[in-house]
Amino acid sequence: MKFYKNIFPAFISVLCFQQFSFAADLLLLPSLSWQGGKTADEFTNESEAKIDIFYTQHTENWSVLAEGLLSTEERELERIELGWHIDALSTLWFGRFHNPISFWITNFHHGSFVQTALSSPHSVAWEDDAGIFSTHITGVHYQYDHYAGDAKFSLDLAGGLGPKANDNLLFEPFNVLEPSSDQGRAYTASLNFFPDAINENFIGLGINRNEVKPGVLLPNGMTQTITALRGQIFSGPWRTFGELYFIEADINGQRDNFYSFYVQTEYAVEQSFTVYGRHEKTANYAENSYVFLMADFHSSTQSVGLNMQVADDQAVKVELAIHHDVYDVVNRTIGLEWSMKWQLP
Amino acid sequence: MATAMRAMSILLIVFALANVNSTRGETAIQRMVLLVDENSSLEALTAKQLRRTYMGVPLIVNDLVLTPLLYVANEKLTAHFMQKIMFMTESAYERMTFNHNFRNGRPAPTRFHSLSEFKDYAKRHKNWIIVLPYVVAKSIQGGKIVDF
Repeated sequence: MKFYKNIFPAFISVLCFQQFSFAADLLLLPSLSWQGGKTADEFTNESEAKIDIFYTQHTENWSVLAEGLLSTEERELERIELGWHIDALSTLWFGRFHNPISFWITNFHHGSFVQTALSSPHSVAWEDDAGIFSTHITGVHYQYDHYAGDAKFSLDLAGGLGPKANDNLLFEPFNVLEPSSDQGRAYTASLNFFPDAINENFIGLGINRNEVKPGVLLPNGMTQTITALRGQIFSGPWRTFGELYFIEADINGQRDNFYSFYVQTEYAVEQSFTVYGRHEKTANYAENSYVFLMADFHSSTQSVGLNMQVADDQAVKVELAIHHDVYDVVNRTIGLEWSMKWQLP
Repeated sequence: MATAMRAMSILLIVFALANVNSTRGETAIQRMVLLVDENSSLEALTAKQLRRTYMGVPLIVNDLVLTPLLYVANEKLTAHFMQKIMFMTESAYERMTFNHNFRNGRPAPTRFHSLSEFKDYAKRHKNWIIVLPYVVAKSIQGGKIVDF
């Protein structure tokens, strides 16, 4: 409760103080999506309306960053961070942030408009959407960029409160608005190398350790160690990127080691029209793996889609996908989405 | 006939004057220079360094970080800056800075829509750099023109 009573109001005070001294960036990223699915014996039909609200404010030495998600499914304060710019190359962030182990999550966050694809890979699914690891950490995050000629090395070190297991979900992150004391600890170290700092080709690796406190689904808790390899390459109209995760989980002294990856390739037919394809797979998990505890977990998915930009600030996406769940049940889906970016003056 | 000729002459003169003004405008826009805070020890910058600075790579001179600013008083000027210095369209540049901001909370260069707005900023701040048309840069007190 201390956090709610003391630290959260402090964030708000900083926001209010800065409102009068520096211009803010307030971005709204609304989207409407629909997905139809077909398995051997049933049809499914889901729709969602959501709006991602993103706010930043900067002074010479400090930044405040907040991201909230309102949707027909959930309402959550996803990120709230206070950043101290130690110098031009390093920043120390305090608050709740996205786990830097994942390239996808720290690039696209919750903004549908920002990502080319309609859906996100299952490897990096959110905790409350059958994700295989915790995607939020609440604590301290150190970011450092080192430039060497044209190249850049980016280092991320993070530590703080990670997930807990609750009655319905395997992993539940620390909730800033309803804090609890039974979260486990999480640590992440990540390093990316950019051969040229001003384009986005890179390779990187990272390691993340999560201690999950016991809950109904995990009566004795769990310890996870995740090693990640990732990369991205742009070549003319082509963009290819992907991530590979090796997951070692320790549940009641039993080991559950498996891997999960995705590779996405995009082709920009023209500036405002991109087609893409993605292959993703999770394999090698044990017969009693924790992935069986997740109702919506898919072990493999192949998807293709298109993204059409309209007037620079809107996008229409269509995606076709074939999913296999852990029992090898096949689900074919079609998805449609409209999204936009709206920056308030 | 004489009246028609006179009217034609007047039209030709007006057309010629309009062209002269437009050419002057083009020339003024095309001569872009880099203006920096007069206290800065920055003496020269390559076009590549300038481009990288506007793409988010910190420019550090004598342990001081220089802040890039954008003068966007009119569309033609902005398009010229993007085309000749950034080698990208304005929408591509906006997309890039939007992504930097959204991902890391890294702010985009501050934009100035009028000269008075920028002059006011320049009086109150140090360690800035800005690309301006030569005729505009000459009129700024507290700044010095640097080669790039």
